[in-house]
Amino acid sequence: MYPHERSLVKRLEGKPFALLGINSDPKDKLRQVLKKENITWRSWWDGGNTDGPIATAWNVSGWPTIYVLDHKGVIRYKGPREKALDKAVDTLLAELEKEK
Amino acid sequence: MKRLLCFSCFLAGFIGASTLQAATSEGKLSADYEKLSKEFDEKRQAYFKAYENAKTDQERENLPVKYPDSREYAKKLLAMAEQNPADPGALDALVWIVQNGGVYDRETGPKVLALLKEHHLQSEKLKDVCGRLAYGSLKESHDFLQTALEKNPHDDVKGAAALALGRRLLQDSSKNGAEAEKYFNLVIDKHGSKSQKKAARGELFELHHLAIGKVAPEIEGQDVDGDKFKLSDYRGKVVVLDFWGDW
Repeated sequence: MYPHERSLVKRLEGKPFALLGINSDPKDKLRQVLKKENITWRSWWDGGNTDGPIATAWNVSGWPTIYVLDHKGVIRYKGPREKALDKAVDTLLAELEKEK
Repeated sequence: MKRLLCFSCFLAGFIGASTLQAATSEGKLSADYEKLSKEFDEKRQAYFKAYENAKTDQERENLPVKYPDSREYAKKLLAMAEQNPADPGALDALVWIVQNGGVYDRETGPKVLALLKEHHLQSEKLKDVCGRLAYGSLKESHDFLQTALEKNPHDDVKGAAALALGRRLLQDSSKNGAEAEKYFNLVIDKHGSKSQKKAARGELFELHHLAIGKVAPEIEGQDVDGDKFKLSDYRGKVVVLDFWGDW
């Protein structure tokens, strides 16, 4: 996942786009991974395990779980990966562009 | 003892001498099951140990021991269970196959479910079986879960079956929401352990608030450094939410 996410974030630099993580690792491990994998996007730290409050509220039972939201905060896609994720984001960015 | 002897004579005549031993002693298949599952665990542990001891990637790729093939063990255990499917050892063997993914196999899965349904429908051990059947494309799953929900006497088996039925419906199509909801409500109102009720509430929340077209619920929290931020800070931007962990 990391290389693809890195390239997505890089490609969309300067666009009205954000990748936000909800991370279930213990703090020490998360710090290490952020550094090692050069992760620049922000993540909420969800308590150090998979039963964290955010993952529980969102009924997440498998990782990774992906949601794509439009600029109004509406859930538009659930679960796209790789190319499908790129396409979803590009579609929503084009929509936003049109509305301007 | 006399009665047992007569019983075994009857069985011996009825099903043939080759299965006599299995049919006459209650613990026979249990011992076989223990032996096979222990063997599998030991091989698995040997693999993990070798992996831990390996120092380079090359060593890790060429470990002296292999991870045991669960399909091979599933086949052995199924053959064993088929000898005398009503034996408690057969039940353990069948549950093992389910827990180790064998129930998703198109060849093994239907056989395992048919034996469980015919011989162990009243068992408490079906709880875990039902849980596993929430996923996978095996078409026999639905009927098995329905039957368990109706006929198994244990509340948490019924709960697991109803939860799995609801989850299967949602996987088949997002249009099945209303029908899935009935099963989740059944878990909350009637059957199900505390954790099953919690899971059903989670599924209902997802149906009502996390469906495509709904405004995403607010997320408020802190990053790893303790800095607070919230999802609504990003309104106006296209947002990808990624629930992740490094494992």
